Amino acid sequence: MDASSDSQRHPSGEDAAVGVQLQQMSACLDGELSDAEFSDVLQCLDRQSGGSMRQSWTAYHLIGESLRGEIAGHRGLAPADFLAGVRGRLAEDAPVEVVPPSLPLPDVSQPLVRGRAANDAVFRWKMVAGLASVAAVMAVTWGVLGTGPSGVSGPVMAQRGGEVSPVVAVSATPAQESTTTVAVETPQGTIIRDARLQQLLADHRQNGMSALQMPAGFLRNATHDNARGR
Amino acid sequence: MQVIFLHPLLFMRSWLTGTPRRWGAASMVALSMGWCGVAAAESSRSINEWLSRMHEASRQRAYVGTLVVSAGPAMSASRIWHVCDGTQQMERVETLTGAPRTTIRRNSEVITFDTEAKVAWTEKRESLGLFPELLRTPSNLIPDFYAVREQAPERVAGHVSDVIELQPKDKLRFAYRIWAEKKTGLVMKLQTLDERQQVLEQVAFTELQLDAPVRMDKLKKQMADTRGYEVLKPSLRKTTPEAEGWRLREPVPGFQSMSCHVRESEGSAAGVAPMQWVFSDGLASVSLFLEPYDPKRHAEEGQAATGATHSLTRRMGEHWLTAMGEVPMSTLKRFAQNLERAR
Amino acid sequence: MRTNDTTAAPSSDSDALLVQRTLAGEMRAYELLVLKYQRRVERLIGRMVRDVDLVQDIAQETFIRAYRALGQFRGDAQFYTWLYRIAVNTAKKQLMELKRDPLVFQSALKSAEEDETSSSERELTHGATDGETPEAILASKEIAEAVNAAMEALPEELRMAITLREIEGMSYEEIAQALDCPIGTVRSRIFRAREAISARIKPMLDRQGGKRW
Repeated sequence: MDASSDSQRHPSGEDAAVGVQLQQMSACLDGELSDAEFSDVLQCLDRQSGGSMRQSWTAYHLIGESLRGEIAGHRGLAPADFLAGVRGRLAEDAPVEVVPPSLPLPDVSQPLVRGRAANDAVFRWKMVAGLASVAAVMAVTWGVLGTGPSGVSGPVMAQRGGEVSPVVAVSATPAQESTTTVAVETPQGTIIRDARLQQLLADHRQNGMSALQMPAGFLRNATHDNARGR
Repeated sequence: MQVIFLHPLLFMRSWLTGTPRRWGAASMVALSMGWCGVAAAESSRSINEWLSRMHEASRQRAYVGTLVVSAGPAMSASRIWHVCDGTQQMERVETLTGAPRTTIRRNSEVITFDTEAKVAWTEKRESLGLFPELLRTPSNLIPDFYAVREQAPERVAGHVSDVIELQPKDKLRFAYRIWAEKKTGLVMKLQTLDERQQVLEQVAFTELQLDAPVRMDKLKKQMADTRGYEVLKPSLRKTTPEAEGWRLREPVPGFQSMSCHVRESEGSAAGVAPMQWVFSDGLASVSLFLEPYDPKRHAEEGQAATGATHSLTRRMGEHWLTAMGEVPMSTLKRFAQNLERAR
Repeated sequence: MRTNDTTAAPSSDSDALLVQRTLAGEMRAYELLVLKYQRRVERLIGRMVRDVDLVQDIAQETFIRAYRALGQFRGDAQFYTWLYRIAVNTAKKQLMELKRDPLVFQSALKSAEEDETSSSERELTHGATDGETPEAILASKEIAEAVNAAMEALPEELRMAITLREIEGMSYEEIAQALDCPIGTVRSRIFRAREAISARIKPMLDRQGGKRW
């Protein structure tokens, strides 16, 4: 015969409901909860009270682990933080991602392969009159803004990553060894290909001064500006 | 009994990572007001403190990671190894896209290997050694021209990071959004934003292992091993704009003259190589390249952009100017308008 | 009879239920599994990897992979055994990446898995409070002390019930027979014991109460 009452105290309203679910969680931990009862638990987990229920679930487990000596000496991340970390990573992998419209999300699930531009010592400069998305991964390209006094016009060329077959340079200089300027029209704007501009860009990067240089700026330049025309 | 210090912003974290990422600024302020009574927009650190911290972070921790640079549709990636031993910092950057290059840095010395062409360039980059001393000097104008705002922390490559925005106080420069790993201050992601807050360029770690045990001795060996490579060393002759005959009529607000040099290469006549005059406002750089006008080579005047870098080319009398910088075009125009011959 | 044998998995029935519900799309069920096994996975990985940040990283990664692979989990095996393998493989993969890297110190990485039989844990020596803002740390020693104190304060019948369950590993049915009372009573007593002890340790889990979960 029990000296104590085994009936639950009955706090009011939501507390009562949570109390019942907490007892169900306790039973669940012991493998003594039916599937039907677990549905109630799940519902409660979705509500405001979910947080405190998860906390209780963790605390109940810690009691057993503690009694069995399973956690002596262990220092780990607080459970709430750990769970948040897992949630965060699962969410990261989800397709929903807030991406600024001007910048396509780098797709790092794809294997990174060297483009054909690897052998192209003279890089293409794309003229972007806004937010063009010219196909494929191209190394540094310059886009023309506005109109210069000698506006460029010329044959339309399809732009694809990799080599551009020899193009008639319209208003640019005839081909010279080290300074070839090539102009190409695309639906998104005019692309110029200017080794000299590329060279100056490299100089600009190397000698630029910025508090953001370390580490981001330096790493960025070592990653992105690969042309060495010298 | 262990004393655990919990930064107020920590309390927001699990809410933030557990909920969809579409919170508005208003609800963020409401959340933070409830927790610590400080508006989310205010920053817990001054702009100099943030920058110093970011700078120090990479000087004190070793790491290995993958970095992705995006500018418009162009994307590049590289693998990064970084290590320091208290006195020296070493870094290796191996490109994963585009031309195969390996860059190794020890403090300010940099060598870049072109593994296909078997050419290596060595250089001493003084600019790399300037900060953070520059941040502490009276000539540091960054706080005069930028304001810092703190946003809700986010995860980048699995690392919880503080998010701050450096907003320009005028229209002559761009804004930056920076994600700095919470514990160390290491920059995880950096965006350059234009006046409409559109992202011009982004640099981000897509994976990062902090405290990976990188071997400095091996890096040193790799840096010194130039067998089979033709080693080129650019020669820069330091000079002054006055000596070269140039000056700015009016300074462009915020931008200070930093350095001036001429790059000389074998076989080129003196005075042919462009002079480079470098300006900076602390975050953004502008280079003015000046060379004698040559109608055979200089035909295109115009304006162009790649990523966050804008360029402006025009003739200036007997000379040809190329102005380049991570600044709005109007800033480059202002430089061009103020530039004049001094003799 | 149960000893302090930590290789014995906790009751597998709750796992089956939780796994089932996760596969049915209930993320909340998976969260319960994460909270249940976090510490075991951390300890396991901590034997293979020295760096504390990396341990947490790999531990979280383990649960991600397990989630994605859950469809392949055959219900006849014990969930924890399956999770254990994923944890080991995840850690090994990370270590392999670092091992293949000629620039990385090999001696700083520990060698491969050991059997999880020892219940005496080595203190992780990586200090978390070097002046930096630390993550909230779960300090097990404090918790163990609080649990002991709470146990001593429990009424006899509650202490009995929870001891038979947690230390002797008896089922509700078995405990009901041992104590000569209805199963409902067993369930209630164990619950009340847990509630009483939790009250003492919850503040250590989370300085802000239940709000962060």
